[in-house]
Amino acid sequence: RKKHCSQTEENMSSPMKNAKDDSAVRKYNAGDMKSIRKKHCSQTEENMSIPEVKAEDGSAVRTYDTGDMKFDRNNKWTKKKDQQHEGRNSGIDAFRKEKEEKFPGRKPVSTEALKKFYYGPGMKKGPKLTGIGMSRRNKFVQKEKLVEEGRREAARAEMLLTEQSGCVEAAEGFSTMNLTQRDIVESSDITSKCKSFELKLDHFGPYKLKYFRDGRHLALAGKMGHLSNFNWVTKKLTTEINIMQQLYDVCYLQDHRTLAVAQNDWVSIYDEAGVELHAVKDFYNINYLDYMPYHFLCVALSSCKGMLHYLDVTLGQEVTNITTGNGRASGMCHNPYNGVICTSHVNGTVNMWTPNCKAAVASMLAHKAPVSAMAYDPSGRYLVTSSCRRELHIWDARNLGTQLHSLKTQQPARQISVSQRGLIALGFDRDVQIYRGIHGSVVEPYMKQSLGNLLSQVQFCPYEDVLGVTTRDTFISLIIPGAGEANFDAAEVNPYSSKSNRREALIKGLLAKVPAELITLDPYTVAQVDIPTLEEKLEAQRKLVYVNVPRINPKPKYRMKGKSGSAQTAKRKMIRKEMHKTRYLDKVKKDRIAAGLEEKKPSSNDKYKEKIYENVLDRFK
Amino acid sequence: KLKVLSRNSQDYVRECGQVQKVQHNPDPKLHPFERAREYTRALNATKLDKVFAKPFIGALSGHIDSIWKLANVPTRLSTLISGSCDGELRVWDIPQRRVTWKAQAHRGFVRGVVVERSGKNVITCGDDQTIKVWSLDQSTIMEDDDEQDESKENVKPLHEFLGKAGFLDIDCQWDSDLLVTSGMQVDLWDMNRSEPLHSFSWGADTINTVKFNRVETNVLSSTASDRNIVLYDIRSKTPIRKLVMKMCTNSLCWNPMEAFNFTIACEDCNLYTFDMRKLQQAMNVHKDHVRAAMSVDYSPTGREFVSGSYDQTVRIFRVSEGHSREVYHTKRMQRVFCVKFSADSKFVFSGSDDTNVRVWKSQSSARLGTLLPRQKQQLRYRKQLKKKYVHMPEIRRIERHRHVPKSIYKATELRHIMSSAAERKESRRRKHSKPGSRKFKV
Repeated sequence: RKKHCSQTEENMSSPMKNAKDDSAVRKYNAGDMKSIRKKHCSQTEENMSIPEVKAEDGSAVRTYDTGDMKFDRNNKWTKKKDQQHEGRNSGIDAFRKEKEEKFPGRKPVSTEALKKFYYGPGMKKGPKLTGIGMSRRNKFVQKEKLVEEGRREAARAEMLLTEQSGCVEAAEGFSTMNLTQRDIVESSDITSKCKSFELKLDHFGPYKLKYFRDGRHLALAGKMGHLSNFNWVTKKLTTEINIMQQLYDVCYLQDHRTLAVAQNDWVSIYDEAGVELHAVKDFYNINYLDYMPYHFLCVALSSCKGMLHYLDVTLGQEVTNITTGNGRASGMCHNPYNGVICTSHVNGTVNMWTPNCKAAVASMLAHKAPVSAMAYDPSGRYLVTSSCRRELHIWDARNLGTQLHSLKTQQPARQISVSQRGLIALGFDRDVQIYRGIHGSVVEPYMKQSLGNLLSQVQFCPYEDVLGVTTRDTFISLIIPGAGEANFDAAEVNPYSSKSNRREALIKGLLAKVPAELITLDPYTVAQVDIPTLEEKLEAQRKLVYVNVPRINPKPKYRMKGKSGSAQTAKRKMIRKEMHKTRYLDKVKKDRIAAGLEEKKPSSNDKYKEKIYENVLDRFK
Repeated sequence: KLKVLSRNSQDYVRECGQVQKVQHNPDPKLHPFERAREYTRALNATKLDKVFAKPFIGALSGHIDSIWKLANVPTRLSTLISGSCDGELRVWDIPQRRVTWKAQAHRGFVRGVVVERSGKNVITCGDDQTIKVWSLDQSTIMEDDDEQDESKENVKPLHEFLGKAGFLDIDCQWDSDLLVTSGMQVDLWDMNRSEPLHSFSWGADTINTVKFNRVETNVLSSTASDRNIVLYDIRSKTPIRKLVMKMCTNSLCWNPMEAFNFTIACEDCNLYTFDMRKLQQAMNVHKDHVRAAMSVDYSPTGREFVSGSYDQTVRIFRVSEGHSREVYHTKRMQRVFCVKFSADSKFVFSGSDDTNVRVWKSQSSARLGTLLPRQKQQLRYRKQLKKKYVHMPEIRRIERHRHVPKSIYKATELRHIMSSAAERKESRRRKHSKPGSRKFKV
């Protein structure tokens, strides 16, 4: 039976195979149709009959001839009849059993797939909820059931994913480290072969690169002013201009045609024709640029000035700017999980920023030496940092301060990039190394590639098995099997989108634009109950101890008949202010009494209440 | 073994034309900020509701005097009957927005209009001490309004009953042909007899309204000008219970789904929902009107009711909530005397002092007409989102906000001040008196 199940699974999971079989069948001549049908029948019947035999006889031997349907049926029928003779109940039981075997229910969902869609322990296993009634509790329980069902369905839908990600499995005694690009290209198909290429960019070197979110477009910005934007799959050029200024960084904005470039002085935004759409002159001396697609925020960091700027792309206005401090910033990246910006510094700290807070929301001493590079993995679960002392640390990004892995590299890594499936590319001076196993317990070297010139930047291409590397004078596209996510979601990013798709996606994105105020360390705080933290409680208590009456500036109404002279107005103003003060102090007093900071003055009524004399004469004591 | 990820672009484009396939992957890694994005969508959905809130459908004009009573036809959705203060009866075709027929039914007010359960006959009563039975399908249907004026005299009732005094309200039983009228006393009529079967009286004053229970069909209730609400059982032919309110009750409606609950529209601006079995205490007090509530009618679902008030507004309340979920008003609408929910619970009718019958949607942003499946799905999704995030302050604020005329806004404010002052005073009195001596009042 198990075998049968696995067979059907196979059939379901590989429609290609079935299609192949069908096409094979179609090759027969028309005259042979009868035989084909017979063959088909026998096949289906085979499938049907196998589990029965196994279940009833307990043996795995198939005794029936193919194509002999009648016999099969008769046999089954007689068997059933026998059972009926034995007794009615047992017959029904057997029938049920048979039925159960025939329709074993829905395919069970693997726990691994379920784990992906885990949203917390729920009511029963989670922390105890107090202070809610039975009816509300029941509502929660009902809701949880729905969530659980949704989770199972989502996990089950994984069966429908068609693509399989790339991989390398070395034979025994061989290491994947010995694989060269030539080996990979030789053994891969023609479309993949086209993905490995090299561009000679002699004059305007060292280059910065950015892949667009859909993994089809690539922007290159040379230090000496060369800016180009092209579809690297079809090798079709979209933009190529020379800005005649020094370029420090480049990033794509809302679509693949709009680029923000950090120039000599400020940040400029260019469209596909190379026209400067907008110059953001407030962003001065910018070294790092990044873009958060769901918030429509462009983030710019000036490392020498230590200024972090947020630009709302939809409005063209600066949202906020933050002074980072902590010395010179050596890198910037954003966490795709919660939209928090990370800056690394020469004093070994990694600081995290949101546009709602002028101070760092989190600060972490990642290394005891200057941080040379850092990167988040695209799911936002891991933070990879490297220092000038050749250390490489992998941190749990959701549980700050938890170091998962620590490695020693041969040289300090100058550039880090993490792929969608968790490969880590480390860019050293003249070579690139790729590690794997970020999800597992051991991080091990996977591949390597030496470069002809000094490295400038490395970046994995999303949804492809490609790593882009720029050096002083070249751009190299390397094939790294198993780097990219195989199954994309067209509702988020679609590599095969048409023009109308892109337009619609942009409108939908704008409608669901997440306000910058919602960026927090935990993105799930949005719909949670706001319970005051201990810190907030202490702050509230402190406010009660040191009372500061807030100032008001009342504007008395204009009154006729000479009553609005300056003296009269001032008098009325005074009265209003006094009233405000007494009211505020009364309120504070009440709060203080509630907080236990002050004792309640016994009122005249309470005096009588408390004294209860047992004897009439007691009051004269 | 070596495999490099390579996709065939043909797999991602549909065979016919350039229509794109939508590839899905439910992996949460690919869907960041799901909560924040959902919240934003919920906020947008709430705002869109406000944008599309156009509840007023139209006014049916034609009456010469204020409209006093409205009646639905149990067998038809599109027909509405209105009786006015000058004794005119009009039968409206709602989709066409025109009169089907009209008649000068009574001298003085048309006090009560009701349609028989078969949906064939309309029964009216008036100040002129008569009950008249009209056929709903009159043959004299005229296109032109002038012609109709002439034909008005030609429309004759099928039967006519003469009472001893003027009638103030009429209702018919839900499962038989029994009629009940109010006035001097509550009279029970059989359609085939000229004399009432039975007369109930409890209290001396005139009885304003009378209503049969729709589920427990032998129970009926009446409200009188001496502030009483009396419940009767026609099987035992006796009054069962009496409830004395602080102020007079203008209208009463039984919940069509919960047999024992009814709501009254009271002169003190509030509506009260009572359980028939526990009359000591109201189940709920619905506050929002600033003048006397004149009329109340339940939605057929039994979850909501509509009320019309002397403050020129129509409000829709949920049964379980103390404040209205919706308020309708226009500049031209004057004091509302009668309201009615349509039988499909999608529309609300109001008849007012300005001689117009107005048609409103019961969900202000609901879309009329047929919807495409995708539109339906979109609406369903939006509804669910709003439900999920209803407690978020921003969404709650937008959802609850209703613009009301300045006079009503000010009056609400004033009423709030007055009620809170009274509450404060009462609480102080309670504090300074012997514990237990001042009882809590409803």
